[in-house]
Order: sequence, then C-alpha cells, then structure tokens
Amino acid sequence: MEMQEIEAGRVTVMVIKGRVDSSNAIDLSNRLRVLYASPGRLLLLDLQELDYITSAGFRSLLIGRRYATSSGGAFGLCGLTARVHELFEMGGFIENFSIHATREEGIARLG
Amino acid sequence: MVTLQTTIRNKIGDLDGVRDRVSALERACNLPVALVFDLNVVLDELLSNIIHYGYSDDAMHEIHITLSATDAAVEIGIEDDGRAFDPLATPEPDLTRPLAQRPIGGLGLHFVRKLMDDVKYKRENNHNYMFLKKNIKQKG
Repeated sequence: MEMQEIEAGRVTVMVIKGRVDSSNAIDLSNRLRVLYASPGRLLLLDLQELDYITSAGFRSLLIGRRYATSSGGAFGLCGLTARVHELFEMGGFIENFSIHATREEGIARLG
Repeated sequence: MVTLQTTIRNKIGDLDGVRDRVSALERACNLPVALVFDLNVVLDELLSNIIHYGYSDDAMHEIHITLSATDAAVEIGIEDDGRAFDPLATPEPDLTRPLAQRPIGGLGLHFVRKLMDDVKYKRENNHNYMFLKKNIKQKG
C-alpha cells in the first residue's frame, strides 16, 4: 500500500494505491490517527487505485470515521471501483460513509 | 487444470508468498481481474483468521494452501493444524443493526461466504480442511 497526500484547499486528499489487508491495515489506521490529531481535518480518501481491501482495511476505515467524528473533522471516500463498491454493499457500509463519485465532487462537498 | 501449492508458517508476513501464488495463477490462466480480487480477499480473511486465532501456543505451525484453476472454476484448499474452527458455523452479521452495535469480527467470514460460490469445511485428524470454489463466468 502507498499513501499519498495532496492538499486541495481545505481538504486533504489521501490517495491509496495497492492493497489494504491484514498485513498493512495498521499503517492506514496509524496515519489516520496522526492526521486527525489536527482538529477539524477534512480528509478525502481516493480509492481509485486500490487493488483490493479486506475486513482489516474496513476496520481502519471505521476507525477513521470515528476519529473524524471525535475531532470535529470530516471523512469522505471517493473513486470506489465497482468491486470495491460491492464490498461496501456486502458489508452494509454504504449508509455509514460519505461516498462521492469523483475526487472533485468529494472536495466540493467536504470543503 | 493448473494447480499451485504453497506452505506458509503462521506469520502474517508469509502471506506475501500466497499473493505471489495468486499472481502466478492469474498469469498462467489469464484469470479475470475481479476473480483475482476475490481470491486475494478470501485468502487474506481465512489465513489471517487462522494465524491470529487458530493456535493456543506460540509454536511454529504450517498452513498448506492449494490453488487450482480450470476454465470453469477456481478452487482453494486450506489445511491447518490449529484449533477446530468451522467458518460456516459463525452467524451471519445483522447488517440492519446500527454500526456501533455490529460486531466487526464476523465481517471477514461474511465476505468469504458472499464472494465464493461454494464453501466446505471438515475436521479430520486434528486438522481443519477448507474447500472453496468460485465459478468463472464465461465471456459473452
């Protein structure tokens, strides 16, 4: 997994490349903890280049959502590929995340 | 039929070797990308479960993985000597409950059951055996 952060106005876009699974989900959780240490952080995860995500990765996303709530920030997702979107549906998570079709839309909504 | 086998230790780092085998099978059989996605997710869920929860000692254990593919289906076999654990016996998560009240633990096995077309389990000679099958959708 590669995590690349891009500042887009008030929004921080984090592009995730590769896989998020049992061996590296902790790295994502740790990075999210650092980012949300700044109150009011508006973070958009771009999953366009995500190869796949397992339940360990979903755990990290749920943690990110919790950090955002408790630090007065926002946590959005964009660029879900069809297969990744299906996993969100299977897990019953569609309603629980702020999901945007494109990075531009996500930045506009969060910013 | 193409069959690839690998044996890993009960170390999360050894899952690299399993992903390599999946990639090798993908190349050998020209598997669809969506199917490779499913194989990687399912193997990570089941093997990380075994590694994290399967053993009551700190000893080194071996886990044997077999991947085979025909034009019609891909099959996964997993054998381990951990404690008896039937993934099919775990209850389905209630996705209608609010998120905070849902146990996250069952999510991985829920994905396994949803992503695969057939999942079988047996306990024999103090070993767990899992057989999983995913049909390959024919193009056109």
